[in-house]
Amino acid sequence: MRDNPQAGDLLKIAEATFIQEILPFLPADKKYTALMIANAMRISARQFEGNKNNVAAEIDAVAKLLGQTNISDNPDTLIILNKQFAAAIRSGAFASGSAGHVKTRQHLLTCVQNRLAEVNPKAIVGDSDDR
Amino acid sequence: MDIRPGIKEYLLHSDEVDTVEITDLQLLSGGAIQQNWLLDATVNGTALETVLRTDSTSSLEDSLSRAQEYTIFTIAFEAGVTVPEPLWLSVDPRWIGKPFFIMRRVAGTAAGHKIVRNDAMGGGRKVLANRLGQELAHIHSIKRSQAGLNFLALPTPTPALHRVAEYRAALDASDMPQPTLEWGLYWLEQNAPDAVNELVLCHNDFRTGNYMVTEQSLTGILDWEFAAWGDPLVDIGWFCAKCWRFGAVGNEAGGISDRADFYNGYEQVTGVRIDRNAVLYWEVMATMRWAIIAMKQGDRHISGREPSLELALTRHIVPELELDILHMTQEVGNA
Repeated sequence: MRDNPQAGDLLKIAEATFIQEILPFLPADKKYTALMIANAMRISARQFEGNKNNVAAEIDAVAKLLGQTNISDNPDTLIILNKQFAAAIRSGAFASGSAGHVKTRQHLLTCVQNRLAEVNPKAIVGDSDDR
Repeated sequence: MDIRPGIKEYLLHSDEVDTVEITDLQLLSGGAIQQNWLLDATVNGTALETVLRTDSTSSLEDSLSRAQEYTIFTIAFEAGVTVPEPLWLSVDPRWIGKPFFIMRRVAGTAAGHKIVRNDAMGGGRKVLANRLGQELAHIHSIKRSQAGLNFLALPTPTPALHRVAEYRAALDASDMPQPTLEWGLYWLEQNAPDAVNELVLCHNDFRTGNYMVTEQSLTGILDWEFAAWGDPLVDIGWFCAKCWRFGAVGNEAGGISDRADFYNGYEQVTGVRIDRNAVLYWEVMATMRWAIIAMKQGDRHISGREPSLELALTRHIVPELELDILHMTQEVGNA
């Protein structure tokens, strides 16, 4: 068991301190690099605190779309399934008008939004299928 | 490596140069694929403000060599396109260790995030968008009959399907599967337009961020390293795609103005009406292309070949582009 504060919390306070106490004193030609460092820290913090259930849910959803029931408990299961899923999409298995088209698109949308929640939450503010 | 002595020797080696004094040399920021150096020199007693362009530590396999890029600069300059005047080219590695060319420096800024926030740039938003439309039309006036451009790639079997195949190959070369990009590529394959009647010179990176502009006017179209023969709508879609508006999403022509201003400029020169609906297909293609480039840039960091925070963060742009692809393909529907 680790002592608190842990990675996510440490990254958040480190990023805030960096922005408030270091960034204002950097020369103009280093600001862009400094902002990239802060952004990397924010992404890292959000990934540490991200929803751990997303991977399990994604495995379950892809398996259903592929019609698979016996899913191995392998660390690379999601990659293996997504390779099959990508190949199926390329072959036209989920083309417009097919039975799985709407569900597949919705699944892809969910996955993209989950990733954006970690790397760029602003991109999903107000995002909807109705736009 | 100090490239100053090599540049001086090269210039003195050329027939028309008798005296050279390099007064300033600075590596400019940006340029993941190419290096640009600010180079000021007094040549034969005359002060020259130039930019020296050479290869960066890594390059993309589909980008042109410096010699090819110099040829395009020269032909575009002669065709009346606003490009920095090309001055010297060296393909001999003995001077600075790699090929380079020198062009006259033009005034202004190319910083996209600044340009889209300044109403006055280029003489005002509408003027600038119209001018950019005209510039692109002049570029597209260069056809395959133009001598000296035989090295440019030809898209087969069609401009659209050529790109679909190229991007699928990029996905196949990557370790991680990309179902959403596959979804977009399937749509691009199924909705691909037929080949155009006549291929034109496509700039292939014609967007805000790749031209120089002052508050008075446009001063130069830059970054020709991806030029190739293609469908003219490729460049129009790339310029208008949401991902190249630098956050000014409402200004659909490159984040600076309305599409109509840009389209009007183009149509004034060509006399041919742009097919508005057809542009949307090429905006999906543009978004896909940027996603593939971002993925490849990220892979350069992930592989350990080129550790870089900028490359690492570029990889995380991909989900936003995927979101755009999912929405655009839904909105346009099936052709």
